[in-house]
Amino acid sequence: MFGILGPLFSPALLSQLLFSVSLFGSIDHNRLWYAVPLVISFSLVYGATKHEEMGAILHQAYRAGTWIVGFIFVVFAIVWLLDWLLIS
Amino acid sequence: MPSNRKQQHEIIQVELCNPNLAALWAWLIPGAGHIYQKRYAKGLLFMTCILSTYFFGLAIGEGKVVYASWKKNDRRWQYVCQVGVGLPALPALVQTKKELPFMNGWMEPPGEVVLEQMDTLASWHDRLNFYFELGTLYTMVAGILNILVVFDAYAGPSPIPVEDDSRRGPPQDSENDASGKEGDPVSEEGSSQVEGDSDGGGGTATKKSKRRE
Repeated sequence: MFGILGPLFSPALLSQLLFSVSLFGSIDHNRLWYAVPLVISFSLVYGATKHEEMGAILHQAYRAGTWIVGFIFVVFAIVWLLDWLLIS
Repeated sequence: MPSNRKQQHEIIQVELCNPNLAALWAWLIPGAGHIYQKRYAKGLLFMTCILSTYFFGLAIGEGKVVYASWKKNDRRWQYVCQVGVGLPALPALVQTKKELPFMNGWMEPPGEVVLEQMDTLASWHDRLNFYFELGTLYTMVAGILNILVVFDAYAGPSPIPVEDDSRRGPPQDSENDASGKEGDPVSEEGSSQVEGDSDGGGGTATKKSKRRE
């Protein structure tokens, strides 16, 4: 039915996904705050490896940080939605 | 005659001094390579960000998360990333030599790991739980970020928009600067030149930052 994507819908993989999502539901979401220092540090270092002036570095860091936070938020939203649909 | 836009894209010459030595310093102590090159602001920024990330990870992992081991059941591949931070991670290598114990077992590997038994590594995981993984992650990220810094110290800022004027000949008029498209880095002898205000320094590699027509 799913053709080449068949293995992606195997019972083993689906059960593992379900288990991961259930783990996500059980963790303390306050742990996400530990991502903040990493995002700040990465953004500043990444910006500084692309520019030489502090203004340009901070601008690049802001853009990189925004992108990373957006990406994390999208992944969080997807997993949270799966948690809500499959577990709750 | 240069336009206003062209004046905004003056070239900074970055003094790279001896790039190999700068890269070595940058690896040993994050930011030290840039301080050696007199790029003080970036050096302090790198030093603050990377060392604080590394030591924060080390602290929440109670000093247990950085160790070197390649024994059966304990292939500590994470150390390959952690050692990118240089000197702060090197004691772990010394601690692999049992005949040279020092620093009261700091960064010492956990010893023999037996599956499904409460060995030393298992007790660390049991006690630290989530913080063992988190500390490992922080220290790994710090090491990987320092690799970027080493490259920056060796060759200057990476993907700066540039164009090689020598291939195009002299600029004909201000239309050349009007579109805002960007090109690739170009290396020449001498210095590293990047977009922004010029400070008139010299160096050993060149990057130019201009706009394509």
